[in-house]
Order: sequence, then C-alpha cells, then structure tokens
Amino acid sequence: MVKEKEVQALKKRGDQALRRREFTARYGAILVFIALTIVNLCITPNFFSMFTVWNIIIQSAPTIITAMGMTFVIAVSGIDISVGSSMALSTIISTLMMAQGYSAILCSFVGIAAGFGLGLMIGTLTVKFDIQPMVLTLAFMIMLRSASRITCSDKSIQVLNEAFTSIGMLRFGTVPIQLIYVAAITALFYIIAEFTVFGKSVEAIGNNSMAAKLSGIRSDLIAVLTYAILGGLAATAGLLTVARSMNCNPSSFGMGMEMEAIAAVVIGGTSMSGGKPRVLGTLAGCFIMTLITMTVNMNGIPASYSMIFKAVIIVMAVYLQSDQILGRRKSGMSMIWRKRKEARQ
Amino acid sequence: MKERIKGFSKDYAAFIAMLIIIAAASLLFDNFFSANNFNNLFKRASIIGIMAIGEAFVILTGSIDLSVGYQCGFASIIAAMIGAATGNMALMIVVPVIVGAFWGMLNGFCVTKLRVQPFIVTLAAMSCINGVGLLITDGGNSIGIEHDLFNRMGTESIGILPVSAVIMLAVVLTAAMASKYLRFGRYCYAIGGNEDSAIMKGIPVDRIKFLTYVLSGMCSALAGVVMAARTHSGNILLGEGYEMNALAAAVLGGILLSGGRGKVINSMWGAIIIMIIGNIINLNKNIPYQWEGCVTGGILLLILIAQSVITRVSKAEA
Repeated sequence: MVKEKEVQALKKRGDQALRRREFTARYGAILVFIALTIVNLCITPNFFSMFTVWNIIIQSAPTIITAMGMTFVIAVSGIDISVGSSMALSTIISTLMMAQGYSAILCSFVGIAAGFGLGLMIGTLTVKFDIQPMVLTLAFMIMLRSASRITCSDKSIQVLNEAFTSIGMLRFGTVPIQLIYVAAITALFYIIAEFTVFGKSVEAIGNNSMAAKLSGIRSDLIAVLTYAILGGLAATAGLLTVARSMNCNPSSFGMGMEMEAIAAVVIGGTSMSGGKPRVLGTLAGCFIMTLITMTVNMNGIPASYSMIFKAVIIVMAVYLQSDQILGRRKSGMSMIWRKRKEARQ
Repeated sequence: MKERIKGFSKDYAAFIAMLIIIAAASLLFDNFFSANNFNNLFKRASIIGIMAIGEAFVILTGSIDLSVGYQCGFASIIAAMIGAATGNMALMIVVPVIVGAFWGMLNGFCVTKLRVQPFIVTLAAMSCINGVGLLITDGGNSIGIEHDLFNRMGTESIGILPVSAVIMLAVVLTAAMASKYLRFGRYCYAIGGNEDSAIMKGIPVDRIKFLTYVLSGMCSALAGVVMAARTHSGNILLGEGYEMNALAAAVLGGILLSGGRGKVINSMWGAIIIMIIGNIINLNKNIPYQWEGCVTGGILLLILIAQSVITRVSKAEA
C-alpha cells in the first residue's frame, strides 16, 4: 500500500513539473518581455511614447519574419544557419534586376522565389541525404555568402525604385506599414501552428519523427517545406530591410540574422530538439532582442553592453525553460533510482 | 585484409584528400610548390589547426562550441595588454590561456549545470565575449605588441617549419595521444557515442563535458596568442568567423557532428585543406577572390554528401 502511495506522489510531482514546464514555455518569453518593459518605463527617459512602440516594430520586423520560418524549422528539430547568406543572395538578385529597370513587383517575386528555391534545396539535401542540418547549412552559409559577392562583383547596390522603397517606408498617419506585416504574418503562422494539419504534423515530427512517419505523416515532404518557407520568408525580410535602407552591401547584408532569429525562437520556448512551434513566444523573443538594443541606445550606454546583456538574457531565458529549474531531473530519475536501491536492500 | 584497407582509408581519408589536393595544386600552379609558399600556408593553417583541435574534443562529445573565434580574438587582446604592462613573454602566453580556460569554464558551467543547449550557450558566449572585448579596448581599438621575441614567435621559422606550425604539431600530437590513450579521451568517444549509456556506465559525463569546453577555450586562446604574435597586435575582430573555419576543419577531417566518431588528428588535415583552397585562389589570377567561399563550401558539401552515401551503403551491407 505504501508503495502505491509513493508512486502516486511521484506521479503528481511529475505532472506538476510538466505543467510548470508548459507554462514557462508558453508564457516565459512574454513575462520576460513585460518585465523588460517595466524596467524600461522606470529607467529610460522618453520611453513611454507611441514613437518607441513604432520603432520597436519597425526595427524588429525583418527578424520577426525570419524567425517565424525558423520556428517551424527548429520545431521539426532542424536548424538553418544559412538564412543570413540566402537572404543576401536573394535580395541581391532582386535589387540587381531592379537596377536593370524591371518592375518592383516582378523583382520582389523573383527574389522571394529564389529564397524559396534555396530553402527547397537545403531541405531536400538535409532530409533526403540525412545530413546534419547544422553542418549542411554551414556549408551553404559560406557558399551563398560568396555567391552573393560574386553576383554583384562585390559592390554595394543602391535601390532608388520608389514603388519598391514604399513597402518599407509607407506610414498611415504615424502608424508604420511594418505593423501590418508583423500582425499579418504572426496571425498567419499562429493559425498554421495551432489549427492546421501542417502545424500539427510539424509538432508530431519534432516530438518523434519515426512515430510520425509510421503514423502516415509525410514527414519528409513537410520537413522540406519548412526549410523552403524559411527561405522565402528570409528573402521577404531582406527585401523589407533594403526597402528601408535603400542600400545592399553583399559582404555584410543579413550577417548575424541567423543568430538573432535562432535566439529569438529559443527564447520564445520552442525546443531545440523539436516539438511544438511557439509562434507567440517567437514574437516576444524578437521584441526582447530589439528592446535590449533600444534600452542600451536610449540610455546612452556603450553598445558593447547590449551584447553582454543579450547573452545573459538568452541564457537566462532558456535556463528558465529547461528541465533543471523544474527539478524534474532530480525528482524524476534520481528518485526512481533511489527507490530501486532501497528496494534492493 | 579488405576490412583493414577499408578501415585505413576511412581513418586517413582527410590526409589522402590533402595529399591529392597538394599534388593537383603543384601540377596546376607553378608557384604553389615552393618552400616560401608552404611556410606561409602553415603559418595561417596553424591558427585554425590549434583551434580545431579544441573544437574536435567538444564535437566528439556531441556538443558544439561557436565561441572559439571570439575567444581567439579576446586572447590576442589579453596578450597585447600583458605585453604592454609587463613585457614578460611567459606571462604573455600563459595569462591568455588561463583567461581562455575561464571562458571555457563559463561555457561548461552553463551547459552542464544550467542545462542550456550548447548551441545557445556558445552563441550567447560569442556575443558576450565580443562585448567584453570591445569594452576593454574602448570600442575595438587594436593594441600593438612591441615585444621582439614574442613577435618572432609568429614570424620566424625553425628550418622549414614556422614556429607556429611547431606549436600546432605539439598540440595535435598531445591531443591525438590523449584521445587514444587517456581515460579522458576514451570517455569523450563514449559520451558522443551514446550519452545515456555513458551515464549508466558511471562515466562522469558532466565533468568530461566541462573539461572539453575548458580545453576548447585553452586551445582557442593559444591560437589567439599565435595570431597576436603573427599580426603583432591584439584585436577582438582578429578571430571573427574563425569558429566556422574551425568547425569546417573538424568536419572535413571526418569528425561527425553527432559525436563519437572521428580522429582528432584529422582536423589538422582539415585545417590545412581549407588553407590550401584559399591559397590556390589567391595564387591563381584568373579566379576572383570572392570565389573562395564557394569552393570551400562546395568541397564541404561534397564531402558531406559522400559521407552520407557511404554510411548508407555500409548500413545496407550490414
């Protein structure tokens, strides 16, 4: 009888831990974001204004668009560190076309299609040839960066097409157009993740790819698609950035975007080993990254501090979501071991 | 016999590939096969080679260390600062390595105690080390080194081999022995092969992982010292992007990123292959220098596809 009670107690603790884990994964990033905002309201002068809000949205829009795609790639337990380079290549293709005098819509379409194609290639190689995505995309990161420098013979390109720059510059009153992009893309991916077969399949593949395959999910196709979607989104983000800066430098454009996006996704609670894609968490993660930069800038602190803050916050955010803090490791495995040891004695 | 040949070619694939590339390059470019060029090549390869050795141990346990590039730059700053303050050569070498070990400890602590994924920890460390490096140099100023003996360590040669290559060989030989004969090395392979069964066998997994990060930090710091001696300066940006080179060197050397397989010594051949590719493109005036990444990445991609095909075939045979 005593044993049964113990087992039940153990079960209860396990359940509690799981629930807490679910809670931190779902709301952890949002809580950190709220905390950061409150800190900012107290210490940063002129923080409380709509200007700041729009600024955060404008600055984080490209990262958000990329990170949404990255969320799904990480959810199928993949990773893509070539997004910065593929963003550069596809953006350079469309800006070069624009310099030739083609229409803005056609050029944007070609750029996004190029990004989609690159993602398709990466996805096919990693899924069909069973190559580790980390190294594969490392090879692509090096290759595509060099390819984008070759395409425009290492010169930076100016974009003066007004129809095109308006997609990044347009404002309705004071509301920047980026708000629409961010809202639309977040809503779209939230619906995909929560209510569609695709989203559920992604979650199933991330949790256990073998089981997903055996239960009839076309896991290969879906995994490849996530990479392709990420490629297309990265190209979109690149176009949006160029439309605002009107300039594209092949050797630095998009550099570091892969790290920014991955960090935002992981802060948002999507597990690096795959599982549920947390779209809203990713959104909060992107805002957190931008907010740190803004806090440092608005308070006149040297930019190097923002790098250190970012590092600390990334590690803290992931630590808060890990098993360790929930005590599951301690309460789960080691308790069972101790019980077994006692039973043997 | 067939088995032995198979095993041999698997173990020395990177070495053979390097020999083939050297032979091809010597035939194609008449200014490639000269003592001067090789001297230069080894000077550059030794920095990545030393870094890749530390990285190799981390990869063997199935982890990853992305922060080695900035650790290298940070060590060069420390070496330059110590040089400016004391002018003592021994301190200029030892202190950066100790600081590197400290960064490694920080990485190892976050991975083993906080249980944050290695990718995220070292990604954050990249940003953190860059930030601290910029901070102590007032926003990324280079610090010159005027210590003559120290600078000669990066530029002089003993016979045909540059001093930095001798340092690399010493590190590589020690590491190769350690990975084969020391308990630490065998444990690394065991953890990379199957971490759960390593725990069940009573291997101190956390301690070994911690140690690999410390080792990686020390190796990249040593690479940073060699770099400082070669460039006569210390700057955080000196090692920027080298983490990808070190990773690529380890992968070209046949060390699987999933851990548990590969020879540590092969990452040195990987480093030399990468440098030769860059060297060929520099020597050949017909190929613009932007192509370097395309060729390196392309070769890396081909090797990855070949690896995957080979493992699939050998699996099908078994």
